[in-house]
Amino acid sequence: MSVPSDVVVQFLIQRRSRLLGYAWVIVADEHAAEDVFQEVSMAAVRKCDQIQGPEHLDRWVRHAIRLKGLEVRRSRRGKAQLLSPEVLDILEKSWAGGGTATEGDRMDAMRRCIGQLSGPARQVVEMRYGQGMKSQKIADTLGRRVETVYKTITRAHTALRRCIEDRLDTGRGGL
Amino acid sequence: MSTERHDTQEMEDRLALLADAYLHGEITPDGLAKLEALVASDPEAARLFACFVQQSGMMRELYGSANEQVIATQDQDSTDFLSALAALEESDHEAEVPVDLTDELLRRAQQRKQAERLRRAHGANPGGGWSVPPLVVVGAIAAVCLLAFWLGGVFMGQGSGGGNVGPGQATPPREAFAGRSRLIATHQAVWGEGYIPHPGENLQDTPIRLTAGLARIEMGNGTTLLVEGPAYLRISGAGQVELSRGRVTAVTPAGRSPLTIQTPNATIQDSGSTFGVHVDPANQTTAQVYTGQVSLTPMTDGVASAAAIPLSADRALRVDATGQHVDTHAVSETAFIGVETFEALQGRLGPEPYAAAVRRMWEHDPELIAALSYHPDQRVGVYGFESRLLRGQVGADSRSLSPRRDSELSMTGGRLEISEAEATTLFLDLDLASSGPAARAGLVRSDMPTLGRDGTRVCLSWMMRLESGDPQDPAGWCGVSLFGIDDNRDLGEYLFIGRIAHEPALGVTCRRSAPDQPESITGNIRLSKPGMAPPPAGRTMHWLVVIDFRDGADQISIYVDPSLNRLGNPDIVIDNIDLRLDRLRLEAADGNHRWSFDEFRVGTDVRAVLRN
Repeated sequence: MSVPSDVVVQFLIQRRSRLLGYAWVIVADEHAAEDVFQEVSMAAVRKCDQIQGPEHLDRWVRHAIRLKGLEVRRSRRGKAQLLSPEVLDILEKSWAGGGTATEGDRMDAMRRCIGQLSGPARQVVEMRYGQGMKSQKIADTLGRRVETVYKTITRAHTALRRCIEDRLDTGRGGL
Repeated sequence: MSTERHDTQEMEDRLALLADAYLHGEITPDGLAKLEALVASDPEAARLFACFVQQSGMMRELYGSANEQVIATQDQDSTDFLSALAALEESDHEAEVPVDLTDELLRRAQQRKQAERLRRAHGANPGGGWSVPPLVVVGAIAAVCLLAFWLGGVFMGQGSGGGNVGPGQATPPREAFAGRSRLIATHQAVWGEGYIPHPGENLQDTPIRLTAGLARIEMGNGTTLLVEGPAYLRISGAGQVELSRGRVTAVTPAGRSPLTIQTPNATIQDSGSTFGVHVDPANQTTAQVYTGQVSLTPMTDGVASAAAIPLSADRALRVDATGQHVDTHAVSETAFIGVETFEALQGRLGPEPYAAAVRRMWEHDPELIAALSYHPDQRVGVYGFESRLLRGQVGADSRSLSPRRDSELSMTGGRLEISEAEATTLFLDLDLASSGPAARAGLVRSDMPTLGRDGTRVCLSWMMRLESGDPQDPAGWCGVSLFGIDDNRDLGEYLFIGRIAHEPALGVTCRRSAPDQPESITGNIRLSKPGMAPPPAGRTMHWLVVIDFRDGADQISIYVDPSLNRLGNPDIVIDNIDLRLDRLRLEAADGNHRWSFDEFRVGTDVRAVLRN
């Protein structure tokens, strides 16, 4: 049994941010992660006749990302601080989990939670993830110390994580 | 906070920091070692790290992928690579990694470069391939609404601009026509007791009380008279105006009979000029000339106390309450409403003039620190005091949280309508700048940019109505949340006020409490006011929140449909929240109801938000 290409596409759309994160942690570079994801996406569509169902598709794509990521890592060796393959193995179990919420639900929760950040925190997050700015550049732009930027990002991350989990757990939004 | 909780929080912070630094290539070797040690030694740390990475992927996706496309092409360059992958995935997934395919991957590196070239070629013009739509659709949005001064009209059963007032309600003519002077148009006008004129009709020679809003009058002598409420006046002839309180602007045509404006302590006469006259609450009269020239005669007890003083363009004079003293006064460009401003407020000149005009109106209200106004025809909303426009797409200023869904945001009749099913949200950041209205009113704390200075009061007022949906349906919520600066790893939502979540009831939901008190009020507090739960469809509710900032926990008094003459006891009092207020959220979500908000105001006291 093969998987139609439109199912593959749908899968890639629905899982994009998660798969992107998976690639990102392997290569430790968001642009490289994008490239990895894109290339694997192309491959998945092209090889859909060899994929034998949704579960196989999930494993196939993640495995392809892993392999492709390892290739990119080799080219970046010495230029970046990278997690060891052993630690990546440990993380594999965590990637396999993720709860019952769909990615759409998670993205919705993320949007709503980002909106609840205070103005300065939201600004820093946007600079970091929207414009891909380094911490020092954010600090320079905002006229703050880089430690303050790190602190803001850290707090934003933890606040967002709790907010998202809270929303997904309770489905509640008023508070 | 317990030691265990503290440790967990510390680990979470550390992982968040390390994850972010790692993903952005900023981690140090020491940091990487710490990260690896954490992940390797603690499954919970591994889970949290993976969570932060996934979260970062989502943030990246949310912010950065609007223009990204995944493009597949029919190139055959990576056939070998795919074959290798296909072979590998036959083995057990958990056991197979890592697999060293160095040689294979090096060989494919060349293939990848070629594939990349092809991808770019197709990306520029993907005619031969196909593309996946971007995952994050940046939503188009409408903007926001609310009408200043509409409040009184609704609460008092009067419509703005006289449009909602039935003919039978108008006071019957008691006096002769005022020299064929005619009410041309109004803008959010609220009329006081007595004579209620209607646009298009000739005015009676009788006192007129414009409590709020604007009125444009065409005098019998051709003068255009703009009246800004609150103002009390009488049109006693073709060129005769008696002004006892408030502001009027006159544009008089040359070559026609002169216009005379009589105030308690001055007489102003002109022909062929543009000027403004203001009688303030202290009974001082100020006259300012924009074009042409007028004459001003100080009056005491109805008798001229001095000779007429010529007043030319760009000059202003003030006469004290006794009519005995006249001083020059600073000229202000925006002290009086001009015809252009009036036109702009009616949306005839486009969004930018509209925003500027709204701002000008707000700036004349020193007790108002935030408000929201919307023009349905222009589809332009303005909030705060910075003339920020919300046009088409709500965008960053209003910080829509669900851009895709907010594209469905509908605004009609000058109201912001948000549907729970669409989960629309609107954030309003209060202007806390040192030059802003809140700072000028002394409300901003000195130690942080937030409202909450001890001993001050902030009031909020808004109207809310269930437009459609079963009021008994427990799903969903709709209301206003008070947000503030967080220093406790939270997103700063202190209090939700409105139709509470998952209950067909009104009330408040609290999360925060004062630092030294238990979170005893966490959760929903239902409003016990008779007849108010659940809110029936079509019923407009008025919410009033009075926040008294104190040393320690603040007192928040909440009124639903309060008496405007005497507030009485609040329906709910919250007194164990140490509130820091810097933003407000209007939201409806997770249900099948449709709600509308209107007339959202924030002020320094009750009078400021219940102007009428």
